[in-house]
Amino acid sequence: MNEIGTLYVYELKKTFNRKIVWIVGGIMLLLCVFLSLSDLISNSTSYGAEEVSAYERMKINQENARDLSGTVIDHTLQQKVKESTTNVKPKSMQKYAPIYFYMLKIIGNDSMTSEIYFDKLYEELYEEREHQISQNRTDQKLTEKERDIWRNRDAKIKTPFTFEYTDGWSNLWDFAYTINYLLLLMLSICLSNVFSVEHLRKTDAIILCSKYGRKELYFVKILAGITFGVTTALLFFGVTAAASILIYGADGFHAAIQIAFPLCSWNISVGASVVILLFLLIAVAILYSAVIMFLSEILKNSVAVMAIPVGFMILTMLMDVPYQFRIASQIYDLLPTNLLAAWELWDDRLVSILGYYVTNVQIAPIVYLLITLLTLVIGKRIYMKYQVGAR
Amino acid sequence: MELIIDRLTKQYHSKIAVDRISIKLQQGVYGLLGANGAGKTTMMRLVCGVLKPDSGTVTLDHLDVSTEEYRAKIGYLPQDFGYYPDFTGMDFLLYMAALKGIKKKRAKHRANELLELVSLREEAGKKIKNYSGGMKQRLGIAQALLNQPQLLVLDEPTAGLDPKERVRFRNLIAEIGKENIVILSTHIVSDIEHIADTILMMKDGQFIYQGKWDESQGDLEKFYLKQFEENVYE
Repeated sequence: MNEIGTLYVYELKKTFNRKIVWIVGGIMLLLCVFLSLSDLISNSTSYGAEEVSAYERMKINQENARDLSGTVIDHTLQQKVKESTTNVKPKSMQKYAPIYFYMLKIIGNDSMTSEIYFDKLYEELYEEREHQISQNRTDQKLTEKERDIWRNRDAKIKTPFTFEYTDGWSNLWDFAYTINYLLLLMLSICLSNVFSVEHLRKTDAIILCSKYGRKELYFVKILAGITFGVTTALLFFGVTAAASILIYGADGFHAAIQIAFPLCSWNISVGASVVILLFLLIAVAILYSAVIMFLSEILKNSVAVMAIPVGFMILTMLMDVPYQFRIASQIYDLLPTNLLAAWELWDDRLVSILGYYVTNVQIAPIVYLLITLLTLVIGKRIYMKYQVGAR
Repeated sequence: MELIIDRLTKQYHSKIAVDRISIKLQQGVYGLLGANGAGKTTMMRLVCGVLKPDSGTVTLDHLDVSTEEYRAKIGYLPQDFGYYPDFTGMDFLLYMAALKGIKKKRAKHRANELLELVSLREEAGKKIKNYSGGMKQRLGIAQALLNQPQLLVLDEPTAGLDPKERVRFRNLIAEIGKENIVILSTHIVSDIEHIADTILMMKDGQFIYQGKWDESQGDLEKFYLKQFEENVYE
C-alpha cells in the first residue's frame, strides 16, 4: 500500500504548495510570539510606588517572585505582605508584591478592594478563597450532588499553598483563547479547499474514475488534513510556549495550579494543566480540521467554507449565555471556541455520564471525537455518491 | 475483452441525455460523433463511472462500472481536463499513478516513458501552470495511459494539439486500439475517419449510426453534417 503513502504525501503537498498557507502561517506564528511580548510593550507602569517600564516591571516581579519561590503562603507571610503594603519604602513593597498580587487574584477585582476587606484577607486568606469558590458555584447553579463531589475533591487539595513563580507556564492558559482563534482562522483558510479544489480544478472526473479515487482518497485527504491541523496546533502551541518560557522562564512547572489560578479546584500541578491544555488544543484541532473538510466537501466552494467558521468565531466572541440558563450555558461553553479559556479552570459545573461526574474539559474531547467521526461518516457518504454532472 | 452497455439511460431534468443505449464493444477504436448536446460526454462519464445512470448497466469483462476492479482497468481523459497548477508534470503523473494503484518504482518508470511519448520529457520538472494548452492536453493523454488501460475513454482528445501532434496521437491511439477498447469522441470528423474502426454517431441520446465506414459509403463528414443539419432543421 505504498501508493496510499504517496497519495498522502501529495495531498499534503497540495496544501503546502499554496502561498497563502505560508503567508498566513507566518503571520499567525508572529502573533503567537507577540502574545508573550504584548504585556511588555506598554511605556510605563506603576509597580508599588515606582514608575517603571513594563519590561522592567516584569523583571522586578520575576526576581522577587523567584526569591519568594518555595515560601509557604501562611499567616506569617500574609502579615509580612500586610506590613510591606503599609511601609513607605517602595523596595519593601516590591519584595512581597508577587504575594500581594496573588491575593488580589483571589478577590478577583482589585477595584472592589477596600482596606477593611484586605485586612480580612490577610487574616483569612484560605477562608476567603473558599468563600469565592462557593460563590462561583452558586452563580454556576451547581446542584447539591455536584457541590458534594467538589467538597470531596477540595478536601484533597493541601493548604497552605507554597508560592512559586509560574508565569512562563500559566500564561499559556491566558493565551489559549487567542491561540484557539488563530488556529480556527488558519485551518479555515488552509483546509477549506481540500475537497472543493477538485471540483474547482475539475480534477474530480479523473480522480473518481481511478482505482483509489473513491474510498482510499477520501480517507487519505482526511488524514492529511488532520495531520495538517494537529501539526499547526502543535506549532502554534510550541511557539507560544517557547516565547513565554524564553521571556518569563520555565519556573513553577510542578507548583500547585492554585498558585497560578487560586479559584481552581483541580488537584494538579501547573505543568499538568498545561499538558491538559495541549491535549485539548489537539482535540480541538482535529475537530476543526474534520468539520472544515466536511464543509469543503458539501459546499464545494472554499470561500463559503471559510465564511462559516469565521462567522461562528465572531458570533462566539460576541455572545455569551449566562449561567442562569444552566444547560444552554454549559452546552455553549462546550463549544471548541469557548472551551480553551483560563476561566474553564474554575468552571465547576459537571456532566453526569453513566453515574460518573466529569467537567466540561473532561467530556469535551469525547464529544469532539464523536462529532469528528460523525462528520467523517456523513462526508464519506457524500463523497462516494458524488457524480460529475453537467458543468 | 468486452464492454457491455445495456439499456443505459440518463436524464437531466426534462432532457434525456442518454436514451436506452445498448452496445457491445470489443478491441478496437470506436469513434463517437455527435453535435453539442447529443449525449457524448454524458455517455463517456457513465462508462467511466463518474456519473450514475438512471437505469441500465455498464460492465467490462463482467466487472460492474461501480467496482474498484473496473476502475483499475480504465483510462479517462475528460473534455475539461483538470490539473494542479503548482504540480510539475512529473508530480502530476506520479500522483495519478498512485491513484491508479501503480507501485512507486513502476510509476516512475511509466511516467518517464509516457512523458517521452507525449514529448514532455524536457518539461517534466516545470510547473503545469507554465505549460501551453497543447502541453496540458498531452499531459492529460499521458495520465490516461498510465495504467495501460484495457478501456480508454477520450473526450475531445485532439483539442489544442497542433497538426503534427494530432498525427502522432492518431498513430498512438491506433496502436493502443489493437489490443484494447478505445472510445474517442470528437467534433473533428477527419480524426475519427483515419483511426476509428467503428463509427458511433449520437443524436438526442441515441446511436443513429453504428458500424464501420468505408469510402464506398461516401464522405463521412457529409453524412455527419447531414444528420446535424436535420437536427437543426427539426
